[in-house]
Amino acid sequence: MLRIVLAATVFLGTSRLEAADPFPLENGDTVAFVGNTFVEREQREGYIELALTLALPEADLKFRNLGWSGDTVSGRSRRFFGATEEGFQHLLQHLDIVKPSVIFVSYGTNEAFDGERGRQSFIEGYSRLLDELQKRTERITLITSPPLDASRSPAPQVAIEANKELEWQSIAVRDLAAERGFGFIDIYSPLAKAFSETTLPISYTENGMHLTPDGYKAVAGVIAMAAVRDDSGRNDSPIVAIGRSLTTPQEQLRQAIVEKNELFFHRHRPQNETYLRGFRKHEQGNNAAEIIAFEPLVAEKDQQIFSLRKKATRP
Amino acid sequence: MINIRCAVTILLVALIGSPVSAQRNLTDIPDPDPQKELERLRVADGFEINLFASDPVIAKPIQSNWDARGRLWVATSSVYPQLEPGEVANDKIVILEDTDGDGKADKNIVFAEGLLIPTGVLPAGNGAYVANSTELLFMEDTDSDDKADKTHVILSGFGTEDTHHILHTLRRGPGGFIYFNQSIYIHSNIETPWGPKRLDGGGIWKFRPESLELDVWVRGFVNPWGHQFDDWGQQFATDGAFGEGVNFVFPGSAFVTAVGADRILQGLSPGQPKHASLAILSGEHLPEDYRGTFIANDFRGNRVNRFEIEESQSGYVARQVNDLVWTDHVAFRPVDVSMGPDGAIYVSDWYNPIIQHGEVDFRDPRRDRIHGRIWRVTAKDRPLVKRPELTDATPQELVQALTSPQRWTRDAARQLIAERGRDEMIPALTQFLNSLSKDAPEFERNRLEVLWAQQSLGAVDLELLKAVLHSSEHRARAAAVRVLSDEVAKFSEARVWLAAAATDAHPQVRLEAVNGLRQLGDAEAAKQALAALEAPLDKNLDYALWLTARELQERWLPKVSNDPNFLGPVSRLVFALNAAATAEAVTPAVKLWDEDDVSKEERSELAALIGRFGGPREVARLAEIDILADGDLRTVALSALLVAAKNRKVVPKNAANVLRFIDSDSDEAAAIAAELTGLYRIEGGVAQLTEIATGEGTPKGVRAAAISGLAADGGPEAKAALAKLASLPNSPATRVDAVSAWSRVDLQAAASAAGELLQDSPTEAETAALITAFLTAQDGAKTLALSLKGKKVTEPVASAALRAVSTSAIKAEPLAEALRVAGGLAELNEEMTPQQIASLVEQVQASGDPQRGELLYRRDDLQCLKCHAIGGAGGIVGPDLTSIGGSAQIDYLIESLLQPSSKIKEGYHTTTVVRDDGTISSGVLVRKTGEAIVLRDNNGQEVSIPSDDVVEEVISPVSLMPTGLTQKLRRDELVDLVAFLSRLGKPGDYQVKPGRFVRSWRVLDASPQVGALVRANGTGALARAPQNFPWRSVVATVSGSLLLSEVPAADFFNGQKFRVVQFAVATPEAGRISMKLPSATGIAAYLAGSPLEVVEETTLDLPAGQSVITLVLEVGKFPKESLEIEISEAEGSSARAQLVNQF
Repeated sequence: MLRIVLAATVFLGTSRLEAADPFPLENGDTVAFVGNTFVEREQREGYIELALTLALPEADLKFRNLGWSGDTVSGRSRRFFGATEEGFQHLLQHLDIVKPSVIFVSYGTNEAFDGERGRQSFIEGYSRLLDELQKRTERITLITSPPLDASRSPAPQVAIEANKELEWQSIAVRDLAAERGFGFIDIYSPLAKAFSETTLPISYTENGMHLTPDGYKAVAGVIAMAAVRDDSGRNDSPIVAIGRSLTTPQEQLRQAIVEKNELFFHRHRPQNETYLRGFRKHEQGNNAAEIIAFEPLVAEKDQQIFSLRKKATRP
Repeated sequence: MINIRCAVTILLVALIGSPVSAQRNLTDIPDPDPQKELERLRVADGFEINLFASDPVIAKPIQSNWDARGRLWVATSSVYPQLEPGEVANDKIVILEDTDGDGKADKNIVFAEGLLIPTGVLPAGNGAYVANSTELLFMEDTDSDDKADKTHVILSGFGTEDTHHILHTLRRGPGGFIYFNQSIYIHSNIETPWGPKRLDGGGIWKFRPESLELDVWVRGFVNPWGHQFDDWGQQFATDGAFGEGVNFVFPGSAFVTAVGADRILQGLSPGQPKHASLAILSGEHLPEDYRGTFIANDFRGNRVNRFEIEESQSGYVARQVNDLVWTDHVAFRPVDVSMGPDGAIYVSDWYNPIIQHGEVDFRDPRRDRIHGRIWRVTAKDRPLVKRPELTDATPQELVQALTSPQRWTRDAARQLIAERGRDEMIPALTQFLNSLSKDAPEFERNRLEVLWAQQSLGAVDLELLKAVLHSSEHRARAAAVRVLSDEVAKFSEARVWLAAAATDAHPQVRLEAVNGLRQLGDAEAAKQALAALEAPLDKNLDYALWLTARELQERWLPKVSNDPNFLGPVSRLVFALNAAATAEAVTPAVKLWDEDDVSKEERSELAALIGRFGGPREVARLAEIDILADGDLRTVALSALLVAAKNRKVVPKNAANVLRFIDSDSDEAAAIAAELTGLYRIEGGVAQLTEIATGEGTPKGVRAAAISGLAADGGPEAKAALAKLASLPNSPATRVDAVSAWSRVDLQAAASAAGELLQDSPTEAETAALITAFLTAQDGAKTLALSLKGKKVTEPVASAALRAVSTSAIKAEPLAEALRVAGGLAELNEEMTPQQIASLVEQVQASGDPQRGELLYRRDDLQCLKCHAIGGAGGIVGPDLTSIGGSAQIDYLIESLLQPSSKIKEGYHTTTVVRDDGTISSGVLVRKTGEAIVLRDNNGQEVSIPSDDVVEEVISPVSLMPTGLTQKLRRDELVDLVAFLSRLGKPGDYQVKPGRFVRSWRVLDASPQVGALVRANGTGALARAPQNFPWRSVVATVSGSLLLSEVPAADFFNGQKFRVVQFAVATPEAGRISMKLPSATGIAAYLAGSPLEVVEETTLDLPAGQSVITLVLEVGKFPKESLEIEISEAEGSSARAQLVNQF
């Protein structure tokens, strides 16, 4: 575990010459994550949020996860009954629920399966998305997609082909970030390096694709270290501590994060969308007030997270 | 045992309080005591029923599956329909076990909790797959304490837009695949290591757990909660919200609502109640005549239906037989059904007086969230099956279990064999295979079981596969082709074998081959599949071959461009080009057009294709004089030209040729030529069109087309002509057509003409046509409203106009207001207070007469029959009402009658489409493809809007059902009508009977002209040439009677009066069918044009296809006041018949 974090640190050391740093998080920030399955499933794990929370022991930070399985830069998974353009509009509406001061974006996994012919539309779509995000905040950080682990995939050849695209994307996304002066975090390269090590003792993916808790821990370390600009590699830093087994207060904090994510999920992606807000809202729209009623519950959990953080970071 | 349960239930009821006490204040909430429910359950003769498990152990059971130990795993949800803020989602998976074999669960374990509306569970290995809203989980029990302790997200991204549609019906199929379903409102986006997989709308997914390969297997359906495999691996599905009974499904098949599908297939019993779940009965415990029959739950009608299913060509036919379970207990809601390890039938009862999802408030206190039962049905005085002990069985014993007559045992053995793995199982399977004797009974099925076992172990043996592919049993061959299709990438022989199977002697095998070749995905495969055209195609094969040609079009089209003979005989190329439906197909189509060896039928298909996709040069071929002069081709060519002109504005160089055919003998050809004349703006056309429009003897359709042509021309001359027609004296129909057409080219002028026209008392139909024209024109409604200022129209005209406005999805309140003012009508106030509704509900229950209500339902002016069907017979604009009383509460029925838009059934929302020319169309969405959006309007007509013309498409919360219909009813009549509706589908006189009674009739409209025709040609002419006579549709009553009082009596021969009625029967294969009549006196009958000898049970010798039967009843001699006709299979004949509802 420690090894991967350190490897990542070394890598980040070189990449910093070319791409911008992520914006440092500040007390009071609301941080939105947007992306696909990689982002969505972090809701159940909470390690990335945990690492960022622990890395800034003095800051009250609110995290809102807007990941959606199978999503693309054009919001393909969010369109419901409409055309893809509606999916894109929904993505923006989801952000406007959150009103973030900081946005972390990670897209590309699904586009990678389109092969080389999908590159242009990926970059065009990504740019269009960033144009819209930029209207909301300038503090945006782009995160590359994790690579696929061909050695653990049931479709190794498909994984090898997709990785070619993901590798290409990792450079292209860095350039996008640089052009706009956005932050950039590369998780592709350190994970790809780890996947290439045949002696890797633990599995970072469930199926050669989606991260296990250990995989999220590894990525969390990379992201948190980049976000607080800690490249010291010190073993006693709270970020690195994520990689080991969690202390009881840390685990309690993580549980609270996961519970908060679940509550926010019901706020952001309620069931029965068709009846509460869609074209059958005349039947059940009166119950849509319940969606908003999750907001105070989320806020309550935020407060619990702040106080648990203090416990977890107390020396 | 039961008594203890009751005590617990009562205690729980007392403790939980709020929802239950709220229920007490409402009517029609039954006593939740299981014993009380049991007392009211009825079972088929020779069966008995007992309580297997009940609340509080299980609350709201949704889906269940058995594990190999014989325990029932049940997914339950109290959170459904919607999580409340502050409520922690804590739904459960419960394991029920009957340890002492007394038929009652005595051990129950909560395997998993903390779930959010889990709608499916499938035990596997050391845990279970669980459908948990957006995710498919595998919940693992790593320390064998029967509690899940580790959760893996296997797939994520399933939609949750409607919680009664979310991921459901987990089912294990042969060969080691897992299947699951989703329903109409769900949009799923799932990342897999093979790439993202997406499904919009309903369908069935197929999943291979080891490799995570995920595919959309079947598309469509409204809410398909049933899926089952028969002994040979053939698949069937049921739909809980669409009434076509059991559906035969196969890879690639698409059904109603399939998103983006050009074509769909139908279920085996259209007009049936809607069904949840499906089980195929098997095993030695059940009486022989029950084995192999299908059971499915009519949860609206509180009963378990049963069907006999038989093969018919590549598919199946179904016949409903006696119910297995039924009751008048309104909370009995059978939602799942399966066979158990002891050979008994287990029925999950969701137990709820409320079953509607969106139509009933999520927080309606009558929604039950705490009860649930599982009932066990056994055959009286027949020994149960010994429950097999399989978990500790040796490999040899497991393999032996594959020969069990009990499906349950075979399914469990299959699962365990796959889990034990290759090393342990392959030797035992090989040994078993070698020991099978060709002459032993069930040899074919046992050998197929070995092949499936090998497939589930990832070890299909080439020699065995080859042997089964060459089996003498067609069902085994078909199953082997399916296995081969699953594994095409693994066998280099796959192509040759699939190609051979495409011309197999049996259509079932050909169907599998055509689907399998699609998997190969290249031009050669398309060519090989098209060889299936050597034999006649039934509807399944026709669909499958069409799909294969369509999906592989990018592969074979370039080949055909180089070599027109690539696909073989011309007929195959024509079939493929039609399926391709793309502009690329036009070049080869035109090449073929020039060939001599093309039949007229093929030429018609080519013309249609060129019309849909050709440019001016290609389309010009259709407008050549010698083509238009050919009587057989003229209409076909003109229709194709019209499609090109209307949809894509294609005008050929030789357009002027059509003017010569404007006076064709055929009305259809003349009408199209007239419309084209205007669309093409042919020199001199306006004068000719005007002449036709004003001509004395011009048929109605041709005149309308000529007027439409003038509007299409739209030049100053044409406008002047329309203005003249709009004020033509004594021709109201022409005026309406002219003003409607005029509105498209000169709205202001047309609106003021319309204002005057409305003052001249047009008929109801004319008024509706006129109003509709203005509603669909850009700014039309607004302009018409202005022109009505200061004008007066009669009350009937204003009412008719308002009805047209209210049934349209296009909002036009200013026009409605202008019409009310002009007609001096008060605004309709249909809203009732909750107290008023409550008192009405009470009156319905106390004094409502459903018999009088049914007669009201049938009254012409209420228009119920025009739009709704019962038992499949009636209109198709609105939902079928067969079971409405079983699903809707009385207050909701009242609300729906008074305010039709307040609750709208899935699939019946109005879609409004705005075209690039500003015109608007609205109706129910039928299908949407790359080429067009097709809507069904409020007259049941399909309207197609080319995709290129669509500017905006909106689903609106508006019903096509007119408001104000109930204004025509007195209060006591409204009470009776609601009483009738509320009884529909409930046990009793208003539940559609299982027999096939003729429900859709065509009756002769009597008139002096008809009398003259019959006198000249004899009554046989009515059967020989029905197209020469005026008919109208009449539907039978719910009980299946044609009321003779509703059939006009015609005076044919000096005071001798007759009633003439017709119905149609479809037979996939020729053969004998029996027709039972209530009396043979005073009745003459004809099959097509030939007279039949009439007895009370007449045997009909029917050809394959559709046959029309004509009955002539002599008034005064035929002794009955109503006519009930039942169709059934004749003894000893293999022919199967279905009644036809639309003919």
